[in-house]
Amino acid sequence: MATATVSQQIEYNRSAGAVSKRLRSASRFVRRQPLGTFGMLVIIVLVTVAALANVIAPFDPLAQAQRSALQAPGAEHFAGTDQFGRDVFSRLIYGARVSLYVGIGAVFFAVIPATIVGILSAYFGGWFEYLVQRLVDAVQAIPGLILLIVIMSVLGVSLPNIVIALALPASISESRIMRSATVSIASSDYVDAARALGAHDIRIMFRHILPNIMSTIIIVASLGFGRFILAESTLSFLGYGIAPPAPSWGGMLAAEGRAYMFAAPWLLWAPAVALSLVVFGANMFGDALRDELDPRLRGSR
Amino acid sequence: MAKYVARRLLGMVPTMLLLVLLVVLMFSMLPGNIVDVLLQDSGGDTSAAARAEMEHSLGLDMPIPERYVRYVFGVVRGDLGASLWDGRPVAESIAARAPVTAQVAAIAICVSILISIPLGVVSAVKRNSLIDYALRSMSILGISLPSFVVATAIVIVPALLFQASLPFQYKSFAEDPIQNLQIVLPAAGVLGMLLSASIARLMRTTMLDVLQQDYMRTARAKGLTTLSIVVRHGLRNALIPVITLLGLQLAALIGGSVITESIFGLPGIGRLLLDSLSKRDYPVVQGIVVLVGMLIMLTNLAVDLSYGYLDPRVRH
Amino acid sequence: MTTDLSRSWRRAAQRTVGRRRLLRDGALLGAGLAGAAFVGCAPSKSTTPQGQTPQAGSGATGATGESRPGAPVVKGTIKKGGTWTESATATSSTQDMHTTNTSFWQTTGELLMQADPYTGAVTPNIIEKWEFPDPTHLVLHVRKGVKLHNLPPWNGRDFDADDVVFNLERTVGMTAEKEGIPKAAFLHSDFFAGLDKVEAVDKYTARITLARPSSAFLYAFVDHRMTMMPKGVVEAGFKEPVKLAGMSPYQLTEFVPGVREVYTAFKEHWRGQPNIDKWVRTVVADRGADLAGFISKQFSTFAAGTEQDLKTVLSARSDALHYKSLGISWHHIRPNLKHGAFSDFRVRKAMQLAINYQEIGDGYYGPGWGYLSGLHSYFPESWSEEKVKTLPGYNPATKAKDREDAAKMMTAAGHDKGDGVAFELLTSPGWSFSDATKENALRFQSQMQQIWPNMKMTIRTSADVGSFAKAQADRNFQAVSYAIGSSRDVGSDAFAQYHTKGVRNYGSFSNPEADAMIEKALATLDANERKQIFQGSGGFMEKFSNEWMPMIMLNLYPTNTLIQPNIQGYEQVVGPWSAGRISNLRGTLGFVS
Repeated sequence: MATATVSQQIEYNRSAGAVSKRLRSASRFVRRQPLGTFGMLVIIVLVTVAALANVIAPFDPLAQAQRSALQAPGAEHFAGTDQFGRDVFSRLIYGARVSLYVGIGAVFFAVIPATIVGILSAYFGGWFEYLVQRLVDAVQAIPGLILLIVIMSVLGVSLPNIVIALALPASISESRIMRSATVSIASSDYVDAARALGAHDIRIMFRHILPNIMSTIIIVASLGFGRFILAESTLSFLGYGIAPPAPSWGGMLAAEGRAYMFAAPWLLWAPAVALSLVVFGANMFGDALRDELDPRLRGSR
Repeated sequence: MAKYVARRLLGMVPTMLLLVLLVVLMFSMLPGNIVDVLLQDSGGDTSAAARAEMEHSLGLDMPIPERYVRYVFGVVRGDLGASLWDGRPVAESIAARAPVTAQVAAIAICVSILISIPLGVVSAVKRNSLIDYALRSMSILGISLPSFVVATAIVIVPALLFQASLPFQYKSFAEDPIQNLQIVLPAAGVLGMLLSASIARLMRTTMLDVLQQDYMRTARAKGLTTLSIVVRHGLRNALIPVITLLGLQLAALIGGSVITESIFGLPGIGRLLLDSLSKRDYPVVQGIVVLVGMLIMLTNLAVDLSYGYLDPRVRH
Repeated sequence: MTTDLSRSWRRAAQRTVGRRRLLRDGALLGAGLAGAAFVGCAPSKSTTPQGQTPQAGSGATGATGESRPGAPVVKGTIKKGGTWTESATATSSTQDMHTTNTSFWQTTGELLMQADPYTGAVTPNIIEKWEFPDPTHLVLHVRKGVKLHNLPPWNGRDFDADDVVFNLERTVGMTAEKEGIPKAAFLHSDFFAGLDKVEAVDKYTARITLARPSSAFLYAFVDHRMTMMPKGVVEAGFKEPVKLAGMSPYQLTEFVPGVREVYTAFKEHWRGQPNIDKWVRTVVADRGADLAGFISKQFSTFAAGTEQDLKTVLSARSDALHYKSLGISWHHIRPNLKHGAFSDFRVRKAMQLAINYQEIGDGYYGPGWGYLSGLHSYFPESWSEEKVKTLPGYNPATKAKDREDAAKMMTAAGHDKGDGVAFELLTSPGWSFSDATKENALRFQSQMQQIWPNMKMTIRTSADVGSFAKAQADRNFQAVSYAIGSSRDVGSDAFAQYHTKGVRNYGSFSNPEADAMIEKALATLDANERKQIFQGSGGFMEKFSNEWMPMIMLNLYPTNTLIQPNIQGYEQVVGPWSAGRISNLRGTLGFVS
């Protein structure tokens, strides 16, 4: 199947290294991947801002003040106010929490089932693999956005449901990447050897296969992160975003951002800058990780 | 070869059955149905008995297994059913809309290839240089903003600055080629930009890989210039995964068309899908999803077959 | 194009259904359900004058061309020709007017009677005069020379009494069984509730027999969904719209589903040849394109949803004609009376008293929205805007005191600081842009929580129209923020919203006294008596406000229509009841040289 070829791009790393080796590779990462390092910094900032939102934000993100509605950015409101007089800067900061929640949540619920299904499917093969692969084929043949919309309609609009709607289809298609990463390892000599020594299936999967597909997991996760955050904004545009008044970058962009594009442009550019910075950072970080973790490329320096 | 194709086609049958099952299940779980939408609008007789009568007459009270079996047999006979709203055959509605989406998609793919392949190649050849960083940043930035923002800006900004805008009265290419392209090109551009980032990224990685192969070293040893090496040997080999990706991106392309078609006012499949979904016109939605699913599977098959031509080592 | 499809088709498909309903929702005559209550009612004294409505005749000004508030009049002489272009979010998907709410028939068909856009009074159209020989009979005189479009098998014949009979019989579902269509599919059957029999007396006279007197009956004719089709359309089938003959100034000549509808001037129209040659409705799904299309002069008109839209367009096109009026729809918060604390009148009333209406109205629409209490303020029977504005809660001057009273009332109900009041406020589905019902919900939430910090209120946006319709139909919600259009008649509107059996009484309000008042109002043909029922002391309006409060009305929303500066005649349809006026308008609009 076609995906197998793609996933061969995402190669796996056999060596699980020691701490010092990790430190060395970290410093090498910073040296060799300036864009990736930038991306990593963006994500660190995002996490910090989200964690300290209540400390950093100058205002309550939900507090309305009709009298100060639609004020341009200034000393009091760094990023202006929206049509309810809410402080856009504070909403951006709290919005980071939503983005992080969606990004991490969806990655978590996509990658873990994908890994489990991928490993099981490659390891056991047979009818189980056949069934899973046909299901993957079927789901991949449905345009992702339609799946999202239908899942959101069925589940109803809420933040956890957005995570589920994003993660569910992703987990199914990502399971294929995990599967192909597992296939070659599952048939390798040392897995055979472990089996011959009487190792239990579960032990083999955890001790031998999982560490070896870790780099694939990391790459898939890091690239998914940005994609999910972006997808949340598309859901907002289609009217399936998180329920107001909670601030989310996608919701800010899709609703007031577009509606007040000219009357109050800061309502557009403020969330747009935040969103694109994070998506850019996550992509760059993911790319760099792949560069570093892909042994074929590493050998060439 | 013929045997391989036949086997692959046969292999699609269980997947299709599964796809239709998924689709039927999904739409049976959606809250509300066309009767709710109709009656909400009218404020007419909304009693349970009236609703039940209408649901019955539209076949909405059919048990799911029956609905599934009937639908599968219908598809086998080439009958996708008729819209619950206007009674038009689903196949007819899709046939009327598909060319619009196909046109946009085809141009989008061309645009994305034109952008991404040179970009990926240059990035790979000049690896870890400033040019590499700049090109990669640009292509990723292109997908870092939601497409609805970019598309809306394209629509509104010229109007406010110059009192001019794209022509919003859609004309097909046959009716009016110039007006058609004026609206299709920007839409295709937005979609193409979305596609190009992932293709450029893949192109770069593959190219890097290819550049390190033994035969490339040989070529270099023979004194060929970088350009001719890249074009003659590298590109051909690097295209395989790129084509695979293009095949896979078809689903994303159709998903993305929902947004661009809405904003640019193009009467394509994406819009039909969204409209029908919200009006709970499930025969239309099912028909589209099933046909698109088939198309995607066939594309993947075509992609696999194309390997044989691009890489003589791959033979089925 | 203020009315009909286009204005309502403002937002994309999902919104459309909701919006369509808001703007053009007509008489949801629940009267049929109240049938039993009328039996035995003595007919009231009145017989109504010809061509006059039984109750709304108060100072009705039906003349066209009169200057109206908020309506610029374009000077200059009209030249024949030109193309009017408007945007729509969809082409009509159902072609049988009797089983749908929107169809091309709203352009190619005409109404039997029409409403004055400003006063709502019923005026003649295809029916040139009518009379009630007695309260249970109505005689309609069809205008002679109303030509059908020249298409086979009609071939330009006159629209006659047989066509009237066909439309009425089929609308109420008399032919359902014969055609094999569920009776419930005839969505407007309740409009003519109480219709017993309709027959053609001669070629141009139809006679209707009513099961009981009904003051709301006449209003069914002016509902925009009652545009006429000629007899024979059922036999012709509805598959090919361009082959169906209407009788309006414009004939459908091109129909591309999902793309456009093109109408061509019908030269033999009974009012004379229309000025504009072509009427094009083109599908544009997004407000952005709509806005840009008007600015770049691709579209003849633009309906600004918000003050912001209006300002944006006017900043680029200061020459555009701006028509402003109150709309037919009202925004509201509807509590489900079966949910928790909402069963207590004091809780509902306290909320109504506490709302800052100005903040909600101005916040979304800017100036120009209107006050109302319970029923549209433009009904002669209901309370006027001026009156509502002086009432506690609505009156900006007494806000502080009203809020104190509200807090006391809530405490008295056992909910000090809002303790124990917990609900989820469901908003109608929002499409890409900020949506009034959502913004209203947000401002409402903020205001309530300022006064009652312990009130637990969450907002949930409906995923789409289907989900929202389902929640309302099943009464499966705690409170909704939504907007609904009034029907043309106060009695039928009150019935639909507040009668125990009302089809739109989603909050399950039930009060025997209210039911009795509504039934009485529907049964009387005496305008003064009706007025007394609603406005009199201890009447419906007072009880609504002081004892019932089944629904918390927020505002009547304004419509802002922009028209290209070279088009004359739009002022004739400005007003909340303009919807049925559209076919008339199409004939008289014109480009000035």
